[in-house]
Amino acid sequence: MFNFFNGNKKITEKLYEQNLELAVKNKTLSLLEELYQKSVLNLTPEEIAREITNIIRKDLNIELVGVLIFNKDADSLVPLAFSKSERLTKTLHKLNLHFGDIPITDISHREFFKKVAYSREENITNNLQEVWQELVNQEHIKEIKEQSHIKTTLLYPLIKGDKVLGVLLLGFNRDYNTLNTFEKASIKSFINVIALLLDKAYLYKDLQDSFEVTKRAYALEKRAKEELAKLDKVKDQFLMTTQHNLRTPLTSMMGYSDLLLNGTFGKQTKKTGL
Amino acid sequence: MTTFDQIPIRIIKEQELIIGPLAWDEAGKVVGLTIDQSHNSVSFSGDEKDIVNRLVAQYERLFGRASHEVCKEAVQDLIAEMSPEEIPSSLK
Repeated sequence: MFNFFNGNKKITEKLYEQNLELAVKNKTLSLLEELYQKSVLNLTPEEIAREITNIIRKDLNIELVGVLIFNKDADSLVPLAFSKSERLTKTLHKLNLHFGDIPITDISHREFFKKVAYSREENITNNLQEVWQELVNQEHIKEIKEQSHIKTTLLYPLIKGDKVLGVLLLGFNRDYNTLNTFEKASIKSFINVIALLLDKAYLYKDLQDSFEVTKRAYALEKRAKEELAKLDKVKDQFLMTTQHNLRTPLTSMMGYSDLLLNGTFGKQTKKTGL
Repeated sequence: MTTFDQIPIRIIKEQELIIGPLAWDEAGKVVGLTIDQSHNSVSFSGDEKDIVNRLVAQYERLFGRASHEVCKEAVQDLIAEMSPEEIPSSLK
């Protein structure tokens, strides 16, 4: 009897573990689906990044999520979107600080970012000062840490092909080793998806930009053609007027010349001759 | 809603993803815990830490050690900001 119940419990536990695995996969898939849905409805990189950061922050209960675009030529990371918890928003508002306004320059001299942007490896720190360094006042960093409880900052490269498009910044209120199975699985999955969505958004932006350039060029050409037609009309008008104004006196002059040559006014001497 | 009020809700919702509505039924059996599923809220009558420990034990009794880990993982961000003495022993 004891063995029967014991056996049943083992089966229940095994089923539970399998359900747990499925639940983690389901949650990850739902998150990915949500990201995909938002990317379909939003087309610009800024809009997509804003939606992505909001979804991730809410789903994973994170304090801060940011997407920054890597500009290799300028050796900098330009903020595209940041999503912040309510308490962090309040703190930043109080400090009049906007992460979105702070481009991170000299990446090759900032170890925390260099490893991610140039070596394409993820990076982690429990020191918020290491992330922002001189870009944010040390007192402000202290206040942010106290108020929003950001303990760990994770940085992931967003890679498409052989190019680092940017980085994803995640600020947690706990240590990395306390992240649960779902959180770890999700992060692993959505990094590539985000890179893909951003790449698509930039591709669309490039297309849109070249379409706008072509449209503007066509409009310019059309205006030039119209101006040319107007000038042509003015030229024709001028020629017609000039022709008329020249012909009228010439006709009389030619008539009088004929009369003179024909001797109507008597013989022409060298003195009176034409 | 206080952090402590959020803990049982987080645990139940996480368990619901794995075992379905049974998670709410089992939580309803925990003495001292009153659940309002429609409003996603709970109220305690008695020591809050003990009640949370009983909720965790309720699931563990049925589904084993894995369910205990699920409960712990579900509330990591909440307990991260609590002092060690505030945290129910089952979630440490």
